[in-house]
Amino acid sequence: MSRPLYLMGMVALAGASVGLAGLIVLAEWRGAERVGIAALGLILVCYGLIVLLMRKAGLIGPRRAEGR
Amino acid sequence: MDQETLTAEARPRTGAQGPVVVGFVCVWSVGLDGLVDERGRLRAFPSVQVISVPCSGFVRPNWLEEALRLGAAGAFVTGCPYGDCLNREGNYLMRDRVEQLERRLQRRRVEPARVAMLAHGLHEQAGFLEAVGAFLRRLEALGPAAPTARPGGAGAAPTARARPGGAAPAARPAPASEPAEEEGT
Amino acid sequence: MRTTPYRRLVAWLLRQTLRLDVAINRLYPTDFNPLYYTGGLANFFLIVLVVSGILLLFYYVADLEGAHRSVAFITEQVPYGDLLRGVHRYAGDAFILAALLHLLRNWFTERYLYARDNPWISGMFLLLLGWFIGVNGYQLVWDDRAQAVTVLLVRMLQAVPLVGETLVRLLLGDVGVTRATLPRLLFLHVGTASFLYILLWWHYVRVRHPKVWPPATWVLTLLGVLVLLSALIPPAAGQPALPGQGTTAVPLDLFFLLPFWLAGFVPPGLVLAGLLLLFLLGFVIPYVGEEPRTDPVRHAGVAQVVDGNCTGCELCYYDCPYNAIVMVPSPYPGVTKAAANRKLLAVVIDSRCVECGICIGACPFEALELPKFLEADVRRRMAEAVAVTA
Repeated sequence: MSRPLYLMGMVALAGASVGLAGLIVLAEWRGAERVGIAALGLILVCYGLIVLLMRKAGLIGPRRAEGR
Repeated sequence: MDQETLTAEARPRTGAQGPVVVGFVCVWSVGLDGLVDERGRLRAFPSVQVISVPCSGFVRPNWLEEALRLGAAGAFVTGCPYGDCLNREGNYLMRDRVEQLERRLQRRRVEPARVAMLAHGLHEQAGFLEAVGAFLRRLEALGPAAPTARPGGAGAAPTARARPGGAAPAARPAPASEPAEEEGT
Repeated sequence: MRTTPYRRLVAWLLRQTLRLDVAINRLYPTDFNPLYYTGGLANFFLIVLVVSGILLLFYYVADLEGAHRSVAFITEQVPYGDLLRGVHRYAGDAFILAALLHLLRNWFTERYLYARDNPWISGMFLLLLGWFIGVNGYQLVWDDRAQAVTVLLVRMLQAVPLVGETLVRLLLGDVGVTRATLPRLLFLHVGTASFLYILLWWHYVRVRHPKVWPPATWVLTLLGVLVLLSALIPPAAGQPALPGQGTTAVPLDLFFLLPFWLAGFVPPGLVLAGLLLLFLLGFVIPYVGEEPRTDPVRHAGVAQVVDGNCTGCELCYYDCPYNAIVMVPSPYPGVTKAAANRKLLAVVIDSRCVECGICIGACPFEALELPKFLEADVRRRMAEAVAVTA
């Protein structure tokens, strides 16, 4: 997969995270706590995938002990 | 073959079957069953001799250099995939040592592309053979090299100087600065 | 290699395990493969358990009436209380899962040889105590499930000859379920969890740079999965436990409560004996079924320091992954010129050496050797290789 594709993926995930954050606010307002919690979980999963895509795109390297 | 009898004619050899290569392969890494014949040569590339070692970290970078001095066209080390070394850090350590060796070789006008560090797991025979094939092609592109020039003008092969303890001249892997060469300084 | 059926089975399991690696390494860079960090995953879940546990402790009341009430309070009144409870519960399941993955992977890849039986034995204790802490956790809720579990646990302990009643008294704080029970259970839960950290010291002591934390992408993703799970399957608290209530069907947690399901129809003493047997079998894995140490490459002998050449440069000390080399003040000067002025001397601690040879690769002065795989052997084989293959 090419770098632009990874970057597009990261942007899409970031956008999804913002949407999910809005969902948390909405859920709080409407009193549906479980929806808010699910959205929080999905945000964290999105963040994890963003970091993975960053690694695959070469923006971050392996951990320092394992040699840059 | 004795170190003292080596002469300037020890050029990197290309046998009839391709560049002569010595490969150190960790026993815990790529599975060699079926890949090597009874003398330890790869069936796919008969000019490659495999030496099994207990860990990729066991290999002294000096030995890779020595393989080149003895006339091999190239030398490589194969360890487990990074992160999965049975001894936890051997392949990372070896990778760092090979990188340092490449820098030293460069300073001595030996092509650093003649040494390589590979990392393949038990089932990755296809990937391993592909990597070895690519390494051999790289060596063929380099062509037979001239005897390496040493500072002080000494010939390609060092003469073993008598030392108490019988230790042959050894190169020190220097993390930061370049130490003085023991041969020909 | 002597191939007993056990060894053939383990070799097959190793091949399948590593086939899984090949599949995962296609998705992730190899150093992100979660299977290389199974221990770190378990540790991560343990930290999540500790942090969520401390937060829960702020609200939990440890007495017979207050326990269930406080848990219901956390679930219903505390903002995101059910998130806290859910994360705590699912992190517990995940901890056991990660610990089992860690056990299986280290078993099938034979990472228990020589001094690595230390992490293995301490790991078995960690698994056992982790399981026990989880059972305690279910008891602390003090609902009908907790009551069923407690009754069965008491029956299991009573089946132990001689010390059965003493063990029951230790568990419950008194001869039956009394006011002392829940504080005792809370102590067992939190105190044992603290003791886990002492066991973890033993678990890490023989390895250098233990991988105690998974890569960031896994930390985020797994935390997110825990949170998601607690939203999708909120942890329930059943009916409050009443004295004298019969044990009815209760929802089971596969990771912790499977033995109690068994104890419903198998005599509890037998279940306990079965668990003990499993535990003992786990203990002996590093010692039985091992191939005889005749392979000259895999078992090349404990590293030997060649005193005459050692200059005290400490490179082997820094590279040994098992802390098997220590530097001591040099009692006498070395033989070679470089070694004559040394201040330190490397010493190999035989009991810690796994015969990997990494120190040989690190030493620039040829001051270390593996007895069955000498440098001279390597040089000779290289010379033969170059002479013959050309």
